[in-house]
Amino acid sequence: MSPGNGLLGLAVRILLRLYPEDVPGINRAEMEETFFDRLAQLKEARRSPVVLAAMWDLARTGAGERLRSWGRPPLLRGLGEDVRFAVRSLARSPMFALGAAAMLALGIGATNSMYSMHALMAGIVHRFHEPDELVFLWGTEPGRRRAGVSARELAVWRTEASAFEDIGAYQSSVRYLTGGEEPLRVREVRVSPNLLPMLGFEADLGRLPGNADAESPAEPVIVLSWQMWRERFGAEPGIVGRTLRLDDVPHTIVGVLPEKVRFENLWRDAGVFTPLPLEPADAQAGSYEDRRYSVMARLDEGVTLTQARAQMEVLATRLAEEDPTARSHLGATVEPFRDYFYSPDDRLAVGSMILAVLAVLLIACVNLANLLLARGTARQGEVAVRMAVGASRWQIVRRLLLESFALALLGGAAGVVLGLWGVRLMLSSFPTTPFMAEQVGLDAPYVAFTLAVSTGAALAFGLTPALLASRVSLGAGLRESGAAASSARARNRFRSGILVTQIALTVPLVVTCVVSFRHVRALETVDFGIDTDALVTARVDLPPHRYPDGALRSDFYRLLLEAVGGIPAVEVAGAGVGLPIGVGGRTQYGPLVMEGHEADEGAARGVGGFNVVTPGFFRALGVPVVAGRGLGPDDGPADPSVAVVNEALVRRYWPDVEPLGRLLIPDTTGSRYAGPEWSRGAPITVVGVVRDFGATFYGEPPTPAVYLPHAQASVASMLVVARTSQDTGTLLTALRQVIRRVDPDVPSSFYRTGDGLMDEWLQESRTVAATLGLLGALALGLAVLGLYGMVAYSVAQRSFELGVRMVLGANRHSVRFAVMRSFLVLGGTGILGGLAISAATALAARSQLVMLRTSVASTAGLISVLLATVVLVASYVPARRATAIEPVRALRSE
Amino acid sequence: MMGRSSSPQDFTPLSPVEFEILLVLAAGDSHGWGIIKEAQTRWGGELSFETGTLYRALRRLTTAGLVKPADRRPTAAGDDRRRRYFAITPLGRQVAAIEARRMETQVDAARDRALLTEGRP
Repeated sequence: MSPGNGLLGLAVRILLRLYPEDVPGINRAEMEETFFDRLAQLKEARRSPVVLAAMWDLARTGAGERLRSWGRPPLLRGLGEDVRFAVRSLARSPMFALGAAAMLALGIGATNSMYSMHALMAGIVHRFHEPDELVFLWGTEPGRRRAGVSARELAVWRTEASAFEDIGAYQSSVRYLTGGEEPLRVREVRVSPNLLPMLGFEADLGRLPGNADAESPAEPVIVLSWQMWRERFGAEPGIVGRTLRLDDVPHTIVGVLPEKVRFENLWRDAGVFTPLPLEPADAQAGSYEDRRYSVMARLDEGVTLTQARAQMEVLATRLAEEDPTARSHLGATVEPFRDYFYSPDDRLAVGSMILAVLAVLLIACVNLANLLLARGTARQGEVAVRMAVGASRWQIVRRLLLESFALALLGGAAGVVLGLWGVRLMLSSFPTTPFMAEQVGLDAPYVAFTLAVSTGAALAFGLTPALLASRVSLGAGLRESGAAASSARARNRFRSGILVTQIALTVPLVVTCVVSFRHVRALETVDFGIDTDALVTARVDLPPHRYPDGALRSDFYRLLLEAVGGIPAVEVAGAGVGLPIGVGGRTQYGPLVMEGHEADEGAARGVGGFNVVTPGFFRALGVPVVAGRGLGPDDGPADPSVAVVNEALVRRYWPDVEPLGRLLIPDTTGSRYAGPEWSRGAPITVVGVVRDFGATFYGEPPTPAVYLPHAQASVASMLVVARTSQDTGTLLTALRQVIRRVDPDVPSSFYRTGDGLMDEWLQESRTVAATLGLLGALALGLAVLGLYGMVAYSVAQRSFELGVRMVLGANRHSVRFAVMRSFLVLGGTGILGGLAISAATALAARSQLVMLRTSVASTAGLISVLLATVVLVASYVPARRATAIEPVRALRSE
Repeated sequence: MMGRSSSPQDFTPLSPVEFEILLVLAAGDSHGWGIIKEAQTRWGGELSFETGTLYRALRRLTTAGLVKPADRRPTAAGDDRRRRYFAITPLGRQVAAIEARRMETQVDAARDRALLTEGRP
């Protein structure tokens, strides 16, 4: 009695739209009444399965009635028979079908991999609630793209920046889980209580840290990350309420975060989340330079990025006026989440790869088009007979098109599997993205994309041959002498077009792949300036609660390195913060001002740029001191402050003066810089210059670097490096034992041999090289096979014509030459087009990959010669055969 | 498919839903919901077909000329002005009778083979 309101009513009314109107017996309004009368009759408890069944019934019958009302359009009549015919026809030539499908599968699979990569990257941001409103607010600092924000600035933003609905902050640090057998290093992320809810995250178990937790440090609470919960606590459901010791302080576990809070470039490896009070007492008095927070914000309803940026600008200007002691560079960089998680650079890179694989797919399609054209020619007789008995042109085209669709679907199905496999392989071989591989799946957009690509491919390679095949003149077709048919000219034009297109596409694609491949491969042979052959490493982390000051830390590392040096197989041992071959590390020191230069210029950063090392570090790595001396045991805490710099720094800052004895002046404006020398601002004297070492990107010059002695500028976390005269594998065990002996409560990790380190560092570029190499080989292979087949077939088609020319007395050589010349002209046109595209691509890619001009030119030249040779040989061999036999025999064969 | 100008035999066998509709309408004109209710009552609530299936069968029967929209409404108290009523045509009665006899023959055969001795399952 009650027609449905709400969602169900709407759904039913939509389903009823399936039924055609003006059909006797059917009335939508009445059906709606009947439907809901029937539902009202049922008891509540039984409803949902019955409702679903009833709706399915409506959908099924409605679709049936609608189809019936359309009747069978004349264009689709006989479709079933044609489908059967297409399948049978392909089954009759299985080699052709399998080969064509394999060719398509490779092209579609490669395209799918790239699309999947894109979808994955673009999808990350959707783990946040309404991600388009979310932004990072980075502090501004010269030489850093994403600097932190001071508590003082944050407090002002939170009260005055009306462009944002909410502003939250986080701060990440390293802590130690104690109380177990061995202390475990974990990454702690302190989050303001509003941050996780602002991002749209809820606790999987328990609750998130709240305001009350942030305000009462006496009862510390933590929330576990999903991985921590799984890996450390075996996903135990009753974990909430238990106690964990973090740096020897008991913390109560109040919740577990969901699995999706796991990002490659945010809170990476985070184990625990703790509350961060947002209004620290020192917010007003603190320094603007104390940039300890990272800040996220949600834009207010309707506020654009431009408006938010403008407001931050106004705030920064005002703050600078209010406090003249504050140095410049206040203010914020507003970066949308979308750009942070899938940077425009990455988007460009993935986009270019998609274009490249689409080009491979297009080459495959062009080849298939040509194969189908040849098949079409062979089937002229069949086509002519069908037309003679009254088949329309559409029916002919449809039958031929169905064959290409069947092939494309076959290729597409295989391409789905290949694509998933490919992207998993790619992701799992990048050390930075292994867990993303688990997130690749067969989802609806992916399948839809594949279907679209397959259908597009089927049209691309099937339509023109089908149209051309249907353009047969009846008499000519029945007589089976294609040479006379007018359609032959159209086919030849099409074939010439294919030839030119294919060459024009292949040249730039192969050139790009080969050049990129060569550059990536070149990394392998680059001399990083480090002798990694007989090297082992281990990272040691000194827990701050056990080693609170620099003297204790220096003593520990001195003792440790003496013990390591005492291992019989070790020649020399040292330690540094990190290694410039992808082994990161951080110091709390910097920036430095180079003598004779302005403050902002000299901010050497990062592990390549700023390192704290022990005396044995350079010798263990095999890095020579080229001027002055290295760091020694005499550079102790009481001695004058000294440093060693690299050649790159000398070239950049003191190209014309003697570097030894120059001064480096610590920039003390920031309170985050620790160490007695730094707070005094006492200048550091350069006592030595070492050779540049470490990896640089694609021919960029090495980064200027400063090396400070550990005894004068200690750090807690160091990478121990030891050079051995024996087998590195056994030394790793010995190294582990020695570290345990010196202090069993100190966590250590990252046990690697030098070769293992290099492998990890190079793996990403090796995968890139392999992908590019494969892609280039695929494109070239497809193109060479396709070209040869096409040219040879075209010439063979002309046997009759060549025979006639010979009969008429033409010279054998001039006939061959004429044939080859016509193809060479086509090939040359394609090559010129390809070279033009290559040049354009090389110019465009210059900002991405610093390509060597000679490299592009020589590769392009080589590829052009290769393709030209293929065209020549492919036209010469059949032309020779056609002209070698007796002319009369050639004529008789027709 | 059912043609228009054919003998009553051509329409059999009917689908269970079609036969049910004819049975209900043979007792008097009814609307869609009425047909469902009536059929359910006779089957003790066991048989039920959903709205879509019912109207699809009604469309088939109407197109075939076994059922037609009712000209006049029953004057009974249960009349519902929003409803459209269906009536059985003379051809519909013939077809229903033929179908019933066809089923009777089959039931007799089943009885001969002692399939029905134990009563209704």
